[in-house]
Amino acid sequence: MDINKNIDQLFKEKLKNLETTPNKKVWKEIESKISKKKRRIFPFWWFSSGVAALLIIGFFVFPFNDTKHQIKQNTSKKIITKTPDKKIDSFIKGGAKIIIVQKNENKITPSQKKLSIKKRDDNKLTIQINSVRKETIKISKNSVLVTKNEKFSKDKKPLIMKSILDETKENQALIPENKIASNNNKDSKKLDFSKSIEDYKEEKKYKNSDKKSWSVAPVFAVLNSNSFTNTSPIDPSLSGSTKGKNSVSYGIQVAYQINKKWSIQSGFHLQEIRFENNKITVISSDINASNITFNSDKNFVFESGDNTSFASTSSPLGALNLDGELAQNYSYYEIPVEIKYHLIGQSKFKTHLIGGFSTLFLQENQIRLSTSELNEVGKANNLNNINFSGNLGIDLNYNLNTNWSMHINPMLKTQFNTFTKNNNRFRPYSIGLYTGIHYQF
Amino acid sequence: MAAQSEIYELYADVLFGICLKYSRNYQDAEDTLQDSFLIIFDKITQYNKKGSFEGWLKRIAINTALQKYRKKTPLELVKEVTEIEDLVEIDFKDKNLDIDFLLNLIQQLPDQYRLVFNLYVLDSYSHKEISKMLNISEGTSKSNLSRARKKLKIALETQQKREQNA
Repeated sequence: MDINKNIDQLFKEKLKNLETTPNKKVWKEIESKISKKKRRIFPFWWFSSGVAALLIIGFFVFPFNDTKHQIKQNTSKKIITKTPDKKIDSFIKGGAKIIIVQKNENKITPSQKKLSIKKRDDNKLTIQINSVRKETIKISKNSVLVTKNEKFSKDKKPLIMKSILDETKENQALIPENKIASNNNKDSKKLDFSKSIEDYKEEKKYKNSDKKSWSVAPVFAVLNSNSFTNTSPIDPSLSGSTKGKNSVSYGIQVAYQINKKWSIQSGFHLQEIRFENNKITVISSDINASNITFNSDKNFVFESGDNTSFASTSSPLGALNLDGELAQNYSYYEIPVEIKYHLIGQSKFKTHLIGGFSTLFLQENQIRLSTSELNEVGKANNLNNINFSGNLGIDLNYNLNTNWSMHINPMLKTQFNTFTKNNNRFRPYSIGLYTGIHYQF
Repeated sequence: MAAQSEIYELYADVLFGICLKYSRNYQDAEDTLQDSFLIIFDKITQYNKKGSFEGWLKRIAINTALQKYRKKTPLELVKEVTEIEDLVEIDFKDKNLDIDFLLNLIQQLPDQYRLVFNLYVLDSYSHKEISKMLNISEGTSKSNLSRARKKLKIALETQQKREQNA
């Protein structure tokens, strides 16, 4: 045992607090791994899908700019109820006034509305509401003040409050001690109140009809794909012969108007892109020099034009086909996030500038090769699954009536991340003419 | 990045010491150190300020090393032995044994012996704790320890003889 202790002691003494400076390259490697990780933590397509998700969530949370919602909002603010120094009976039976003044303690936007409702034949029940349109609910330190001189019954107090405040639990109600206990007319009063709120809602709805923030539209577009460079993404020897073809895009667009000038829009589209190489020479080959994987596992070498100078193809020549046609189709699910800025135009006709970007998820990827003898299908092996595009365009909008409008919208979309490798500096873009009919609410 | 680099500057030496003791060789120790720091920076929010920060960092480094050498196959049989009493006398008065030499001896131990020896002798874990950390029985931990000691002793003896002959 002593010997064991001896050994333990020896190693403990020498090695327990061993400290050694590691080589600098260890930190270098750690550093590079951390920064790589950081970049992976927040890829920017998350941002775009995040915004899209927010729009969609917002669409459900604040549907239709609902007036019911506004009532809640109003009441969640400071409410001062004033009644003349009268007894509750007279308050109910007539001559009483309830003035609800809503004061917004937060920011007050310019779109304030003043609304008075005069209802009931006998009872002059006046509700004045300064409503402030705000999209986010901020319930904070709400307080309800009832002026001191009132004489409410215990039963009526919560009743009034309840009907106003229904769902604002955080409110602190400062209500003076009651002096008179009378519980008649309890129900009728409740009725009165809720009825006037109903009336108010309706009126509000009417007034609000020209304030529609949301719009949704089925959108259709004709696209023409093209490239900034005159090369081919499939095969370097095909440069000069790649032509963009017309294709389509369709989907749903959701837009939200932030204020008079700005709106934001997103949606979900299917976008097709087509390129074609005509009159190419096709030689079957052992090696795969192009970026196509054919389903049949065959390989081909391509030459543009039918000038058959095969100096560049070192592969053993196989069967030769002239006048071939190579058609590349690929499609994306597109989630755009775009900002719209109101340039000119008034009620009927408006022009907006649109800018933004899209996240593109590769969906279809097909290449079809056809010559007089051959018919092969394959796919491009250099397309990224996730691609991005920068979008710029002008939106011309025509209001049909309060609920419906149509737009026509030429757009330029430049893709950033189309190819994984061997793109031969091919930079695709598309020019599209988007059109749709919007429903606003 | 600045915060991370500061932490690294402060603790790299201590943790690298641990990694060297728990690893087979220098190369492995560097890898373990790197992995440890990546885990540390990843989990730093989980550090509750109850224990010492250095202790927390050390535990991570140890665990990272264990992760690396813990037996992947549970089928490797180790004959359980109770404490082996060895009566070989060694003169340890010569305490000028080189640290590098001792470190080298530890590194050359079989993985599990090394881990147990380190945990028990240098980092004062109990056999019970070690058995949980390495997923072995307490008996195995004890026997591994005594075998580790034995191997170390033999190595030290041969070294001594060599020195005497020289």
